[in-house]
Amino acid sequence: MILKKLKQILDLVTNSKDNKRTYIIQIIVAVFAPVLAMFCYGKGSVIISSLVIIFTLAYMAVVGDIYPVKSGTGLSELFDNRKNKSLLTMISVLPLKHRELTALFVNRTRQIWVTFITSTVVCMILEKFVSENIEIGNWLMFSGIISLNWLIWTIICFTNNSAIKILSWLIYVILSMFLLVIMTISEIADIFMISSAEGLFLMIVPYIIFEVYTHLSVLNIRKDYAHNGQRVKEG
Amino acid sequence: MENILEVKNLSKKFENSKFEISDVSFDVPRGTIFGMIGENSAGKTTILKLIMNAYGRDSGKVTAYGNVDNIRDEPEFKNRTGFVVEDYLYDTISVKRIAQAFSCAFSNWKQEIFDKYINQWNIDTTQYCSQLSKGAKIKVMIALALGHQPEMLILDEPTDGLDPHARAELLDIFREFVSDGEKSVIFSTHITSDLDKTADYIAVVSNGKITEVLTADETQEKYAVVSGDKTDGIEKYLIGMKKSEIGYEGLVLRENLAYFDDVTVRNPTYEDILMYTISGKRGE
Repeated sequence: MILKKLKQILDLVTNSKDNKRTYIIQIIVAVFAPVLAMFCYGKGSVIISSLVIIFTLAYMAVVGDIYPVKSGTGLSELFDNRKNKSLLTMISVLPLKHRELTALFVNRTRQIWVTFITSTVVCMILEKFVSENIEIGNWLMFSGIISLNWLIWTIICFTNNSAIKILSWLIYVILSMFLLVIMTISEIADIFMISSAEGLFLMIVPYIIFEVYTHLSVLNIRKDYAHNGQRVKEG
Repeated sequence: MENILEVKNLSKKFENSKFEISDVSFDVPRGTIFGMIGENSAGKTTILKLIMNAYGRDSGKVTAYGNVDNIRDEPEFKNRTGFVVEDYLYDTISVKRIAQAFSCAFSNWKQEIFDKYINQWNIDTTQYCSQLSKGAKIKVMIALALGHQPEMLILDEPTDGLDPHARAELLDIFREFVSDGEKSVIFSTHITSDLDKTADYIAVVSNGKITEVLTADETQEKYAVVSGDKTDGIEKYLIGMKKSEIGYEGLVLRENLAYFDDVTVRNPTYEDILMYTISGKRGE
């Protein structure tokens, strides 16, 4: 029943098989991890987990098909065949900056897992410097925030829709202020069981990882572009 | 007349090859159809790809729409320009998905325009690109180029592979495209009769250089085709010539017509220009 409902929602949101898979992964990450955190920590994690879930799902519902289609993820499988001459000629036809180039050709599922797992590992390493104890609950809590943060940043970077871009920035600013500023109030931090230092790297590290992955992907594309006898465009 | 495209001193050398594009310069006025003709491997496609920045140039400058540089302002340049060069339709995806990708890459994409041409040419968008004939692929690329409402179309041999009816349709599209006086079309072709019907300017490309840029009127004013029985004493005035059992035919500058006696004179076509300036060798 739930799966059927989910499928119906996904059908409304997107008609692309690749994008549906993306959304399913995002939903699982956003919902599953924080829900487990609830059982580790209690009421504080219930609140933040709920917020993450609501944010993520509502955000996806608002953005819907605009983000993945407008970013052109429909050609993601071509990334693995980027030495193909047709593909490289297509690159020269399209008016793409390097971000859009990655959006068009990068394997979306791979990008999710690489950036998500890397972000989580990096955040856990940073957590060592701000917290004495690291528990599975930390990892689970982070994963929810990281997934939302990642979602916001990919949309900011790739959407062509100005309204969506502004909305994404707004959400990022609100979430950042919440984590960085509000969490300095110890009573509130105790409820949510997350400090402002943790908030800081949870909001910044995924973005950095995402940007690094993007640039490396683009460098790979341009290297093959050059290899085909065409000179790489600078910048 | 304002220029929509200005190409200045474009040059490119290729590694491990003697071929090079050497100091190519030309301007394309707004509201015109600009044709490029030349023999195989003359450099037509290379020049167009240098304009697209598909090949990085060694020197020179390409500016469009007043002040849009094709490298510095590459996204804007390409957003406003429709390119049909080579086959970039990836085999394992459908026409629909390609259009979907284009719709997000170009800010002025209009699905109705793309659909109009696709429907006009009866192309099934669910087909994979590998299933399309050569002519159908060209039509899809043209529809994709027109779909984002460019101000300039640049096409490399777009009529190659099209049947006569489709060619005529395409030439009509070009004429309609430039009819507002603001947009222009640049296309290279071997089929010089297409240029006869449409081109306001032609550029003759040979060995990586543009040897000549002419309007239709200038072609008639500058050149003539003469045919006669004997070439005694007049070969030096012939730019290009072909001989047959019954005599000769050749291209000559009109200013040198006085040196020809007892010949038939006619106005040259673009095919004559191509054949005699590039392919026709004296005495052969």
